[in-house]
Amino acid sequence: MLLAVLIFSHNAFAYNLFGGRWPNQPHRGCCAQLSLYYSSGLKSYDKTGWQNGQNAWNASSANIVYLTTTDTSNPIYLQDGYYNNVSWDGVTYLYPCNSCTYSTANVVMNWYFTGRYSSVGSYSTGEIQSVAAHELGHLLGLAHNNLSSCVLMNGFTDQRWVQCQIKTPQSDDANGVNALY
Amino acid sequence: MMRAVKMLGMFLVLGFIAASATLFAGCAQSQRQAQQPTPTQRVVYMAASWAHSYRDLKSLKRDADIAVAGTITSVAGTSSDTVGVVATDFVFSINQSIFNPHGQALGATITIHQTGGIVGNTRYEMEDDPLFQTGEQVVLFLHEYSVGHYNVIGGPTGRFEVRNGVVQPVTGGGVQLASSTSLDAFVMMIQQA
Repeated sequence: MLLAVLIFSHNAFAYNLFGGRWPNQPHRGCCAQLSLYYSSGLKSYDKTGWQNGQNAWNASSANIVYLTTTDTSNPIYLQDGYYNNVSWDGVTYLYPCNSCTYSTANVVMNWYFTGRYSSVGSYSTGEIQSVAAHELGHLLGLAHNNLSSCVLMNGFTDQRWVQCQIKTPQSDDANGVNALY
Repeated sequence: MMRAVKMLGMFLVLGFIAASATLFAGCAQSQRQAQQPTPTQRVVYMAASWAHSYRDLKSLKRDADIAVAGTITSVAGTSSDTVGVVATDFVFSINQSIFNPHGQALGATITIHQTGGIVGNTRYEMEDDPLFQTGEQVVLFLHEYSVGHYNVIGGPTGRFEVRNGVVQPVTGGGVQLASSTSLDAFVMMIQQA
């Protein structure tokens, strides 16, 4: 009985938070709204990935609505670049720090992997969405949860996508967001 | 008189040894801490999606070009590109080549590329892959992206710290090791995997 309680309570709070959040957003209920600026130089497959990731969050039970903006002064930038000397396929910079009240963010996809230049193998549309949605989770203030392979905030694409086919927020990911907004 | 001179000489020698030891310790300390955050430094943690994780040594050997043990000796340079990605090249001194299946000609030092670094008063660091520190002893599984230039495969899962002769992974999500695994034992584990 005690074991069951421990297991269930552990699973209920498996998500991890950085400790920061976006300001001027509701603390509870639907919905926080954040606007994303898509960099003009995005590769088409990365742009599709970002759009699919955005749609996946909007369709989830998380209290977040991602909007799109063409305002170049928007504080959140979605970008991509070619990096053959790193082992990440996506990265998020939260300013001024990830445990602070956020002011700006830079989210980057690596087309060394998404563009199928890596010897690791080609990324499918679903895999690119998995990376994009994962980074959009960081953007909200979610940290990695490597206790489970099958959640969006697992930090490794081979576990999250190749092993579990996760490309949308799971209940644990949504619970993390709903603890913030 | 002679005894007083002898005593003075002894004090001078001891004083010189003590001063030298303090000086050298201070240098080593400042070198080790060159990459550690300072109280006035702003820290921006970056959060990545790692393409691949490695949970066993056999998989690491399958994908690595080389595996080496050695020491981070200095920072060769830090840069930030137009997208805003900050990266640092570290000089790595090889103490032992553990795995080199293609027989790469390795010099005494190689360059290790890591995302993150210190730009002005801001320290950029991956959430689960801390910036290398000068003086840090590590075992690394590496991919050669250009001649003499390498990056760690699997993010934090391709990197192992050596402290007081004991090897430990930098992350809990990769290869698990007994808490008392010596460097010699780890090298043997790699060679036998």
